[in-house]
Amino acid sequence: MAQQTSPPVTADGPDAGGLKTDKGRTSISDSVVEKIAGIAAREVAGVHEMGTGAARAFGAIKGKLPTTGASSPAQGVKVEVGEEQAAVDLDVVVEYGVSIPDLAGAVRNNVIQRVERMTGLEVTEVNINVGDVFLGDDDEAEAEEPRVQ
Amino acid sequence: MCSEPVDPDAVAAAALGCADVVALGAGAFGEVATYLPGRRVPGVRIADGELEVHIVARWGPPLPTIAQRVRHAVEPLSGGRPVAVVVDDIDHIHLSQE
Repeated sequence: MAQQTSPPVTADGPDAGGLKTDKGRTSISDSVVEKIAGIAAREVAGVHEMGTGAARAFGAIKGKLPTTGASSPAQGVKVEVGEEQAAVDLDVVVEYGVSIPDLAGAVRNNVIQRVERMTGLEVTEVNINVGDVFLGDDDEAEAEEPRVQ
Repeated sequence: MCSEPVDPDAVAAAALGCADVVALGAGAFGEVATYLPGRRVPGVRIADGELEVHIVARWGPPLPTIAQRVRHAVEPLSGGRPVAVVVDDIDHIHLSQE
């Protein structure tokens, strides 16, 4: 059987942008929206980490295990995804010295942009909870070399 | 509605052949598949009213575009059914520049 080459799908075709087409629906699962929102939030300068204290502690432990690697991009993100809309809840740790309202607005905008552009879903709301402030010295101890092997 | 038989392996191959499709998705618990004697075809679910294809997409391009591409590829094989494309996951490990 011949290998499929992708037909050119233009962004302005009748079906290309929508999630409900007359030839079938496109569904985006929660974990996709969570990942995109989590990465969009993290990339805003001033966001130190995502997740509540318990999630971050667990993520730090997981990060030290050889198999599981860095904390999940969806940590600190909860979403509700419908057929055409999504709502996002974020738990954010900010860096000390940022204007929290300004940062929250920037995170909200970036998350909305990323999710809407990549998934085609309309983001109805992004709720942001600032759970902690990173002061710059709390977690640094773990980066030091151990004195004994 | 006339529903003709569907070849799940052909559907899977067609979906995988689309650009920006990293893999077929098997649903949250690995349950999405066509169950055949002795084997399963993961990622393809054939119902009377619908053909469901689950994919893992590459990070970067808009998902509706990728889904439409999969739909185009799979439609000739769908036996007259509408094609539902479900994006199970997205490959964040290999973030590409947009």
